Amino acid sequence: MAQIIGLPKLSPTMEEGVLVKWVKKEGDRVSPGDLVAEVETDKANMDFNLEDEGVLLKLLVKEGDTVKLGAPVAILGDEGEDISALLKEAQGGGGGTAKGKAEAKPEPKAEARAGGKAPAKAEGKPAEGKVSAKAEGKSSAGKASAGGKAEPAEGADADEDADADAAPASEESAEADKPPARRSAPARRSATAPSAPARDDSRPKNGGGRARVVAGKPGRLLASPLAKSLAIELGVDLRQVKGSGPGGRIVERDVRGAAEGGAPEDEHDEAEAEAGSSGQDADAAAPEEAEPEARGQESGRTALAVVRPGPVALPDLSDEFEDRPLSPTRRTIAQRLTQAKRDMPHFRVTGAIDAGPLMDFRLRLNQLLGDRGKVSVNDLLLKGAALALRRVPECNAAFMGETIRYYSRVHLGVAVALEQGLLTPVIRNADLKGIGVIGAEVRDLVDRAKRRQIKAHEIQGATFTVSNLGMFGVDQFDAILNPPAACILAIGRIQKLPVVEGERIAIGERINLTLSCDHRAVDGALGARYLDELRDILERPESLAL
Amino acid sequence: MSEAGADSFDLVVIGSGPGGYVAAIRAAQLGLTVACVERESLGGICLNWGCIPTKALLRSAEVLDLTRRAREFGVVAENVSYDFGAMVERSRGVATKISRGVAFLFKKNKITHIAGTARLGGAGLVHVDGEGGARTLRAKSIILATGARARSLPGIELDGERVIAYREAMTLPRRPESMIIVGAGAIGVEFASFYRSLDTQVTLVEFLPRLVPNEDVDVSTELARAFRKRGITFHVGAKLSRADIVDGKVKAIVEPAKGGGALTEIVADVLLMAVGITGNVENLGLEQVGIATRRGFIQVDEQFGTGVKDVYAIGDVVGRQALAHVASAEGVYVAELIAGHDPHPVPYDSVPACTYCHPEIASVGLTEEKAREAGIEIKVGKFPFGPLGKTIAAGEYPGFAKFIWDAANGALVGAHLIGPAVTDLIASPTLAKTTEVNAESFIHTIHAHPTFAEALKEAAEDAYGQAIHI
Repeated sequence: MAQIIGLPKLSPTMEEGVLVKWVKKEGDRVSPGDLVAEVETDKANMDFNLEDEGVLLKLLVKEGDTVKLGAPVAILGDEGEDISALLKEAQGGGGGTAKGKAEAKPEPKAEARAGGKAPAKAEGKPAEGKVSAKAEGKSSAGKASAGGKAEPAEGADADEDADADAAPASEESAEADKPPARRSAPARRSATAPSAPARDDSRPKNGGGRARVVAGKPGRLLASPLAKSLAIELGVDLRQVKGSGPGGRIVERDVRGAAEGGAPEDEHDEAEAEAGSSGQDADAAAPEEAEPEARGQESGRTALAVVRPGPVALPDLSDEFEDRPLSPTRRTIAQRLTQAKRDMPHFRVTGAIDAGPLMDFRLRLNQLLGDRGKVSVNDLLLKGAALALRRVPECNAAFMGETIRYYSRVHLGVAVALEQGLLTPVIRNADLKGIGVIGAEVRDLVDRAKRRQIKAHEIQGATFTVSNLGMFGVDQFDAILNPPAACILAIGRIQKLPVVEGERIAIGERINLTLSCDHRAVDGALGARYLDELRDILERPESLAL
Repeated sequence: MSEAGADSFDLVVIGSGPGGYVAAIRAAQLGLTVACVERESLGGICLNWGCIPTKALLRSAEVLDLTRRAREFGVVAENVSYDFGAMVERSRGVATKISRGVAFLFKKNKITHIAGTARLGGAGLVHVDGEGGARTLRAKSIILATGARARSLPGIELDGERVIAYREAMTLPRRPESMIIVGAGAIGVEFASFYRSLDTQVTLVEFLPRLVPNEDVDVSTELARAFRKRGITFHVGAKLSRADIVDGKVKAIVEPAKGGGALTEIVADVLLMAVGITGNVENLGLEQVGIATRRGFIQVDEQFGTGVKDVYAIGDVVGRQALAHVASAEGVYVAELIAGHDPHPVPYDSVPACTYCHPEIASVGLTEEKAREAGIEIKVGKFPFGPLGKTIAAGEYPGFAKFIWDAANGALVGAHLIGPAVTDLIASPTLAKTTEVNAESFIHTIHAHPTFAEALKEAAEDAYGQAIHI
């Protein structure tokens, strides 16, 4: 039996992924555990392994496509199997929804619970009954496709759009010319559903057809049934709501909060719009009886206009700039650093160290090593930073709201600039490791990060972070904290400077070190003490061996 | 490992009941080094003196009841009788077996089990008095999960022989001919149900105006009907004013709860006190380290912090909802918190409560009365188990399922079940409530036929006038 393979959750916070590379081709036979594709998540590139066996009959997304969690990516089955029905299903989510929407014009009765026997006729009043709610999961996919019995929306490049990306609510389709990011929140809110399902007292004849209140896209958005019906009732756009339930599921309190809290956060809104993946609302009202063709066309157009990223989606923008969709990594960076800068009150302490002894020490080490490898200044600085934390363990901390957490282990995050963005691989127990080991680990992690083969757990759990821009010629800078850790150390380049030695001026070597601290957990004197201990270690580099 | 190292832990849990042992295991799973101190058998009251052994006794009663009805089912069982001692022995065996299960889980998760009585020392210290003498543990975090015990009424002392609590009630040397049970909550009605099956003359005394007063009124009414039919006597809205031992028997004086009415004298072999619990807060060193108690329970904040850094308290000793599964949920929450995770809060409004009398009772959420008090506009549906094919085949059970939905949005406000297998059936309404499955989705869910669970769907539908079989 052929089946649709959805995009699995490859990292705990993943909501979508970019299919970076298909490792298997159409027609390839796969066994359980086989690596099928590489997917870039918000954290790292992850392997996508299949748990079933069969032949990959159809790949539904192209390399480089952004795919929502659970959305169809491939069809797996036996050789030669007829998959036309499945193909339709995979695409139908999009097509069907698109249609349901374009015509969404529920009469109140049609929405009444169990009004299924008398579905609303489409009356071609597309601007009413905008309902912002989505369903998740396979069943809704099935439903959506059932709703859209017509051919897949034409022109809606439904083939590629196999994640059933979205079709806009009718009201929005009317304004589909505008770029999605401009949709104003009030407009979004203005049209509430004519009636909430449970409110209607009309006695239903049977129970069929009720769940159609929210038709939707598969695997997009986790929300409880109650949250969905409330969203309809309160006119809340579920896509703008952050879920607080297990697994980020949107629950009642989130919808109520959103309804009370006014406009959603701009960041969120824009991020989503820019990513071009702003799947529009699925919505209401027994679509099946309406005329499919007319609708198919209309929805096809709107879906195309709003949904697809890149030049197609934003045709009327001038060429003065180019909007690039955020990669999941970039989005995570944006979110975390905004949070850090906004929510963690930073201060910085700066000091210079005499780098002379350190350079001598390094020279001696490298002479000793000969051909067996090299120790970099960075390796020594990392080891020093870790050892200094042993002397001032209060800086190895995180502010947790009600408590301050003091870490007993030193897990050093090392900020690395990569093509796809900033990553901080973590050297675990760095204070216990030798300089050589630290160096080797950093190089291995950086290397794998560049090749996008780093594992999620290798970039999590830093208790203290070091960011070194010395190699870029920076004299000195200060870094934004890497939450939740309370401190981050910013290292500048080694400078030759005139320095006062005794009563004369000499040429000395200096490195500027700047420690950014979360003042809620670490006070100024403490930060200063850390820098002082670090200076002591680095200026007497034999300490690094201890 | 050095001597000091051997006694140093990331987490020390005091008490190994369903709160403590679960917290210990979860913490160990998350990579912490954990010790659990227990002064009695592993598993606490639940496994040794509560949930589990009573269920073993009630099962014996159920088998006896059924066997007595054997002929109805075409089964011939002559001269049916029972052996009370063997029932108690089986119940103890069940408890021992489960307790060993906990020991196994501790070993599997590399949790150090320390037998002894614990007392908080200074910062991060726990003193343990055990068989092997005294020792002191160092702990980065401490969870107090010491549980609770039965309390009595003022002026009435539990002597453990004639005036007893649940613990003695499940290990009586011989079956009492007659028994007074004070308190018709879960513990009271379970023992009433058990002893009545053994033909003991049972009299329940409840201060509030109905049996199982925490449950929905309809459930109380249904239970009263079933108990009356079984020959259980009860005085509701009544209080015990004295209990004296006269000629080796208990002579109890019961009067109307409001006072002023006629006194009733009841004489019985034993009096079981089931009026509630009080936390085990004594001799823990709470005062010395500055942990506050109120009415016999430890005061905690939202994250179960006691006010003293890195010391948490969970379960019955906190007394939020004295249920084993609540203690477990709290234990998991705190363990994850200590391990640096960000756990989801315990969903207190969606805690199922089960009572294993015959017929069984189970509920989740608000009663109809409470829902109306809270000003929620509701839709109520009810369906009896009686008409279901499965019930008729199984042989006449009373009871019903009752669903309360929020009229505004179809949210599940409460579900109240009394009847066959309802303590298991409550799982799906609990899931629905916790995960916000609304009426529409619940009704849309196919329930297998023939099952007792069909009553749930029909009751849910009944609220919207859609039940098919009524």
